[in-house]
Amino acid sequence: MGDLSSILRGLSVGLFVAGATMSDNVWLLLGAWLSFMIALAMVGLVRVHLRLTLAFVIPLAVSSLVINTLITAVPGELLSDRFGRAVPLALALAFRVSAIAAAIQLCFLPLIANGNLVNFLRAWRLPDSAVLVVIGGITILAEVRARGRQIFEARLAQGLGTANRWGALRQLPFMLMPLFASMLESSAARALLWQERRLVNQLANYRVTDQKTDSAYLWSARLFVSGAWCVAAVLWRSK
Amino acid sequence: VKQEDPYSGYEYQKLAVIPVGIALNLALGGLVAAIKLPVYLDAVGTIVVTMLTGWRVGMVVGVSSFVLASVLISPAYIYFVASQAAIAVYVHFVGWTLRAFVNLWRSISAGITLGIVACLVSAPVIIFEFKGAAGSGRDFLTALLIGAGARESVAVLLSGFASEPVDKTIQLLISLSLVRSFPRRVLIRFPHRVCVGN
Repeated sequence: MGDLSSILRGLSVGLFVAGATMSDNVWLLLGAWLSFMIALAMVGLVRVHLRLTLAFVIPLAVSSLVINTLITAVPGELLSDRFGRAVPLALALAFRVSAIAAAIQLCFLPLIANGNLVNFLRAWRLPDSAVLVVIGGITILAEVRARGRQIFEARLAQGLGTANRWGALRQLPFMLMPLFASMLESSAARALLWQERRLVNQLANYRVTDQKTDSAYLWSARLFVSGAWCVAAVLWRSK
Repeated sequence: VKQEDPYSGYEYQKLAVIPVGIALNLALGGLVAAIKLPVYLDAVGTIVVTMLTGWRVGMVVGVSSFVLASVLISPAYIYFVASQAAIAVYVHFVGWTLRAFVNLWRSISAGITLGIVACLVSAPVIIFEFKGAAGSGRDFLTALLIGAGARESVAVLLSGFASEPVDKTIQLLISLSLVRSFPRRVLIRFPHRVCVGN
């Protein structure tokens, strides 16, 4: 049942992303994004979504607006007409990208938080080595942060740089080399540990017994909604 | 009964280095995207891992880091996975076949060519999906060229040819200096390191 939920979860997100990519209806995309915002707020992820998305989506939309305002479709067209044509394009782009990001975050971030990501990846028949890499990729981010802080504090102790944001920014080029060298060294140590413990073999027997995931029926309903969304996205495409 | 482990020590080393390459791509790319520099610096991890382990692992690093970045940094990264795959294949090819990383001038010319390759691979996405916008400093050049009467596709290509070779040369030189500065006891675990002259 758990495997079925994982398959349905992946399919419903894939179907939604396909629909959002095809759609160019601003209102439809805005509605989808707002729905996901409500869902993200319910699981406490709305701040993560806004921080990650708005930092990129707004500059992208503004760039699109500037470029499409400058493009002349008809010779002699007024600037105000071009601007009016560029606004829906920029809005559709912004809402499409935001909705896709929200769907992906809503699908995968709770899986990471409750330890069900391994089950999800194995349900999709991902090789054990790839599962190991995915888990390693997620855990290494915390390690990078911790080692970066260590190196920065060591440089501060040597009297190099100042302990403010600007000082940290100026230290970055000098921190990169020791940071990456230590990461590579720790990866060599990690490879030895994995080899000693035959981790790829152990992963084959891994199962989370207490699965706090939604039922297959609920994910079937979500798959249906994603399918309906896909159809609506195709039907309401602007001519 | 003990199961036979299909993975050798080097295979485990390749698996363990993938997250490091992904972290390097995400850390540098995320930082540059956050402070809006006119370069990307989002392929240093891909280039370093390709130099150390070859194009297959490099491609896995590039594609995986862009898939992860599309969730963690910016959703648009997912559209540029093909550029990362092309970077891995190109770096492997010029490193092994043309021995391009043995001195500075050959490395710089390899970086410029890498920029042109990356520009050609990413241009269709920028033109057809993002309607000309890339969400970076090169958009101003694109807008300027369109304002001067150039076609959208031509403007995107020209702005790419102006910015990508600089970006990719910087990335290639950073990657080379990183690989050459690694301790020998670490480098010895990577047979592919010979392509950077170590």
